[in-house]
Parts: sequence; structure tokens; C-alpha cells
Amino acid sequence: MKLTHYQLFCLLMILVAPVAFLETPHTLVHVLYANSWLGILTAIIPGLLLIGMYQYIITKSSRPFPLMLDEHLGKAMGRIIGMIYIPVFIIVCSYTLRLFIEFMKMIVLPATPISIFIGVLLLVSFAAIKTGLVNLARVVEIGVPIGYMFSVAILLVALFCNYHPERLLPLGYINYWSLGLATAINISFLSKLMPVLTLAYFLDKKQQAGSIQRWVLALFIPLITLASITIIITRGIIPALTMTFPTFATIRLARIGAFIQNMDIVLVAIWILGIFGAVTIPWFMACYVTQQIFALKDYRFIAAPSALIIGYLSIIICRNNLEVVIWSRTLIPWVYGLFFIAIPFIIFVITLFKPYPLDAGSDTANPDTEAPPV
Amino acid sequence: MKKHCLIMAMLLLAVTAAGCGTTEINKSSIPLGFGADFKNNQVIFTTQLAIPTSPEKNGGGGPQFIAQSATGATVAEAARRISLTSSQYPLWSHSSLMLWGEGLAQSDLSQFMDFVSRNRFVRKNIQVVVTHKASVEEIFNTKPIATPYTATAITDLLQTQETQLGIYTPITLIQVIERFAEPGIEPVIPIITVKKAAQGNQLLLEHMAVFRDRRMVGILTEKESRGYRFLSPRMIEGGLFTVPFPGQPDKKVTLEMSRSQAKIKPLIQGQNIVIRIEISAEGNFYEQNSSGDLFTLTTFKKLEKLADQEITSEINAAISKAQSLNSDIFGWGKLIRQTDPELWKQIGPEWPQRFTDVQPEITVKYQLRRSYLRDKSFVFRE
Repeated sequence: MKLTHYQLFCLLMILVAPVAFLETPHTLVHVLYANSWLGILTAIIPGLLLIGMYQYIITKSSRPFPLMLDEHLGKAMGRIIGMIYIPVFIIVCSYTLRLFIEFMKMIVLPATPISIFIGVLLLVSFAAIKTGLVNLARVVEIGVPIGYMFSVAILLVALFCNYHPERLLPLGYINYWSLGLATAINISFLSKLMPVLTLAYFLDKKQQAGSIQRWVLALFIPLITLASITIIITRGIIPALTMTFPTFATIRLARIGAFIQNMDIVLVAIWILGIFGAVTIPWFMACYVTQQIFALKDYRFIAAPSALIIGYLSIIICRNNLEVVIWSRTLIPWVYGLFFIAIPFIIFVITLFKPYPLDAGSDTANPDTEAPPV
Repeated sequence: MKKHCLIMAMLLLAVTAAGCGTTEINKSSIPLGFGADFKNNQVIFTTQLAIPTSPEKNGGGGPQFIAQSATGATVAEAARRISLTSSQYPLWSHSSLMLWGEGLAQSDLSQFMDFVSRNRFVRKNIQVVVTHKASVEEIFNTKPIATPYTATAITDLLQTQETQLGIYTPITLIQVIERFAEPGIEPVIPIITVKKAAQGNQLLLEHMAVFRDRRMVGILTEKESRGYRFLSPRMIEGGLFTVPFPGQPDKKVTLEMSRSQAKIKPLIQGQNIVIRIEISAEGNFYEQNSSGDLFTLTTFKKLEKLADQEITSEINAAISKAQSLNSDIFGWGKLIRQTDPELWKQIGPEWPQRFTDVQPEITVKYQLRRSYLRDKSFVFRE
């Protein structure tokens, strides 16, 4: 079975957007204050370059990640680096799960035990991996357009309910170091697109993954910019600096007339669906990389043991929400930067000096080298 | 033919069995709660009955209940003497609260416990509360705020304060019966009183009654009640407490208790019995009433330390009071009986005396988890 272009688009969108929607404006507001939204716009060019780099690697590689590591770095080095990616994807998955737990415990359902959140989310993600990636793709086909449109709509409602555009001033009053840092942070979140190095091989034409990624960027940037602008316009910069989840605090201001309010709970429901995708895809990657590295028959059975690791890690990874914030502002951008940008960049440099593989120009992937059915 | 007989039998049963042993609803009254007190060698039995109201009259100004009392030589007699003034048959199993008057609690409870444990109409999962500085009748005649019935208001008070404040531990009748019957554990029951206010009398939960053998021997204050709650063998959830603001002892930081679990283990060291108590708790940062950023990992650790000290002090207060009253409200004797029956055979008969010499070893580990909407303190402009 194969993924359609639209399914890949939805998978990539759900991989980057839900967590960034909650986290990126929060992080950027600490760096660029009232101009945090500019840090998102300046990420367009580096974002296109990042996508170009991923696409070039895909085009120059005959096999999906992590097998492409063998192809470009040699078998020994490829396997070692591939093995490192297994805990990396598990950490990304656990961190996303922990972020979800913190959000639910602090904002939505404080009295519910965290074991319920972890158990429920891991159960559905486990079911998604066991039944195959295509089923997840079918779910996100529906979830992504609904979630995206509703998020934009509710942000606009919140924006115009509490419209104070003067809070964006002083416009452009930023130092270049902060702008560079904000752009780097934004790009690090966008680099969660890296699983495209595997997922592109599930398309009929892997060459078209580039345009799909550009579409993701084209919709990701306006969403996060709008979220960032709305936070500043509605809440003001000083309150936004002290909030744990300023995006959600902003959305709680949304009301239509005097009678439709508390719309945030609908967004919470949609966001949970987004987190389901954001947890499942790195988890799938961890299982898939394990299968490929150790030449196992299937990746699905790895989901059960890794579920325990992910669940336990999500609890012990941080003692409290302060440590989660420290993770999100320091460690996680570095993890993304190293494993989703720096190592792919090394591969990109190596592929510059390599010829195109034999199947590079064909419409369909080489049956001998394509990824196994999902 | 068989089929017809079966249908006829079923019809006959349906007509005759429906009314067997039941009471007509229009001849019944609903007691929401009941209670007993002891005065002048007589038992005073009081119940709060709901007054049925039609939907048209609902929300009228008057109270929707009536408190009725009767006296008798025994509880059962006093309870049935209510039928001398009320024509309706009380459906006792609808009661959700049992009040013990102060007079009854301080006298010999043997005149009461047999009735409540034997009577089939008294549900054993109802809440038990002791009255203080007010009779049972006064409590049942106090109109609660924003709810129609006093009895249900008191049960709701018990539940709500436990999750919101975490001071008094509710107790059911079956737990009280067990604690009076079982060796090595004594009951502790929340106290309700009436507070005079400008708008009229108000119900107030205040202190807990400590029992030994058959009577109430003292009270636990608010701090001691908190400490007692921490020593509960079940996981406790909810509650709030304050610790001094680091560096500014006159200011406070409010911390929320999400959950707390006590592990209690008796240790025999020669002639001494040591009770090792390990409290593992976690909660959230709720409020600070002073400026200054507390949201650093170092300050969080300091707050956790202060929380440990506060919890330890509350537990110590509860233990000291229980030992001074010579009442094993924590069930440590029961714990020894369960873990070391041979030792219990030796020390069981003299347990009340041994209990006062028991040394507690308390270790508390409170962990701050979350801080709700903000991850920084509120900062005023410079």
C-alpha cells in the first residue's frame, strides 16, 4: 500500500503543527517580545532551504532513511548513526507526550491522573502503529483540514474580540542576534519534517515530496504567525511572557456575541487529535528504524515494548513543568538541530558529490529498493 | 394448556406481588438525616424530614424540611416515638447522615452502637458527624446556604472541604463500627457546629472528635486534623496548605496537594516500638502573596523542603495529640496485629499504655509538579 500526496501532506502537517502551535509562539515571545511573529516570517527562506535539502537527499538516495545512512556513510557508520536515531525518536515521542500531559493537567483536567492520559494516548497510538501507517494517514486526512480551519477561525475570533494592534509596537525594533536565534528556534521546530526522508518513499513518486513539503511550509508559517500575532495583540507582551501556554490562554478569550464562549474545549479536542499524530509518527519512526537497522521482518511488534519505554520516559523526563519549559527552550531545539538538521546536512553534503541513483528519474520507486508496505 | 397456565400464574404474581411489603409513598416521609443525643438519662432522637413541595411552590421562601424530635429510654423507642407526632412512615434507609450529639458522644456509646449496627433500616455507608456546642435539633433546624436540606448540605460540606482544603477526613458508619469493634484502632469523627452570623446561623465544620473505648475523649484541631489525614492508609487527593515565602517568613506561598500516600511500617527495636512513616506527596504551586520570582529550580527545591517541614509538623501535632489522649486513632496497633500477631499477643492487652511511648520516624517527600496558567511569578512594573 502507498500513501497519497494528500496523506503525506497531512502526516507532515500533523507532525509539525500541533506542538508548534502551542510551543513556538511561547518560545519566540521570550526572544523577540512584540516582534516574535517576525521570527516566524524570517524562517520562510531557511525553511525552504531545509526542505530543499531533504528533497535533494531523497532524490539522491535509492533507499529510505535509515538505510540511506548505509548508502552514504558506509554500512558500519550508517548502522551506528541509525541506532542513535532510535532513542532520539523515542525521546521526541516521550517529550511530546509529556507536553500533552502538562497541558491537560494544568489547563483542562487537573484532577485526572496522568496515567489515564498516558494510557489512553499510548493505546490509540499503539493501535495506529499495529494496524499500519495508512490507517493513521486516513485519520489525519480528516483531522488536519478540520483542525487547521478551526484553529485559524478561533484565532481570528479571539483576535477581533480583543483587538489592540498597538501592542505590536515598536515594529521591527529588534537586534539581529535575537532575530537569528528566533529563526533558528523556528527552524528547529520545522525540522520535525525530517521523517519525510522515510515517508517520501511510500509515495508513488518520491520526487513530489518536495512540493508537498513546500505546501506544509506554506500553511505552517501563516498558522504560527497568526497565533503569535494574536497572542501579542490580545494578551500583551508582559502577560504572554509569564504564561505557560499563551496560545491557549489567548484562545480562551474567544467569544461570539455574548452567548457563544468557552470554545476552547473544541480546540482542545482537535488538539488532542493533533498530538495523537505528533506522538504516533516519531513512534512509528522509532519502530521502523529499529526494523531496518536490525533487519527485522516487521516493525509492528516493536510498538508494544517501546510503549512501556515511551510511557515511563514521559514521566521521568521532567520532575515538574519548570523542567518541561527548560527542555522545550534548551534541550529539544538542540536535539532537533543536531539530529534533524546537522546530520541530514552532512548527508546532503556527501550526496552533492554522488551521482543520481538509477531510479531517480523514474515515476515509481524501484521495487527492489522501495520501503516495505505500510 | 401449559402456556396458558404459565401466563395466568405470571399475571397473578404481577398483581399480588407488587404491593407486598411496600409502603405507599403518600403515607411515607423521607428522613434526610437523623441523630441522637443523651440528656437526663434519656435518649433524644431527632430526624430531619423533607417537606414535599409541588413544582409550582418550589423555590418558595420557607424551609423545605422539618426537624422532629422524641425522647425515650432507648434509641429505638425514641425513634418510634416520632410516630406520636408524625402520621407518615419514615423511610430510614433514605438517610445520608447520622449526627451524634455531644452528650451522647461523651457518655457511654454502648447504648447506641448496638442499635445502629443491628438495625436493617440504617444504611451503613452514611456519614457520621458529631455535634459540638449545638444540639442535634439545632443543627437540623439550621437552614444551609444555597441548598435546601441541612443533612445533604453537611455530607456535601464533608466531601467538598476534603478536595478543596483537605482538613477533615469524612468517616462512614461502617468504618466507625469497625473501629469500635476492632482492637488497635479508635475512631475519629468530624465535628459540626453552628456559627452565629449576621444572616442567621450557619453550619461550620470545625475540629474532629477523638474517641477512646466507648466515649469521646478530646478533639483534634485543624492542624492536627490535617496531620491525621496525611496518615490515612488510603491515597488522599486534594487539599491546600501554605508554607512561608522563602526569605520572607511573614509572607506565604499556597501549595496544592494533588495526592499523598503514606507508607506506615512498625519496627520493633528491643523493647521499643518505632513506627516508620514515609509520605510521598505531590502537588502544584497555587499562589504567592508577595512579589519575587519563585520559578527557578532552586526555589522550587526550597519550596519542596518547606512543604516537607510543614507536613511533618502537622503529622507530629496529630501524633502528639493522639498520644496525649491515649487514643490510637491511626490504627498502629491494628498494623502490628496484622504484621506480627505473636508480638500483638504480648503487647495487645497493654497497647493503650504502649501507644503513648511509640516513637514515630517521619520522612516526607513532597514534589512540586505544576503551576497552572503561569510559569513565572507576577511581576509589577519597576
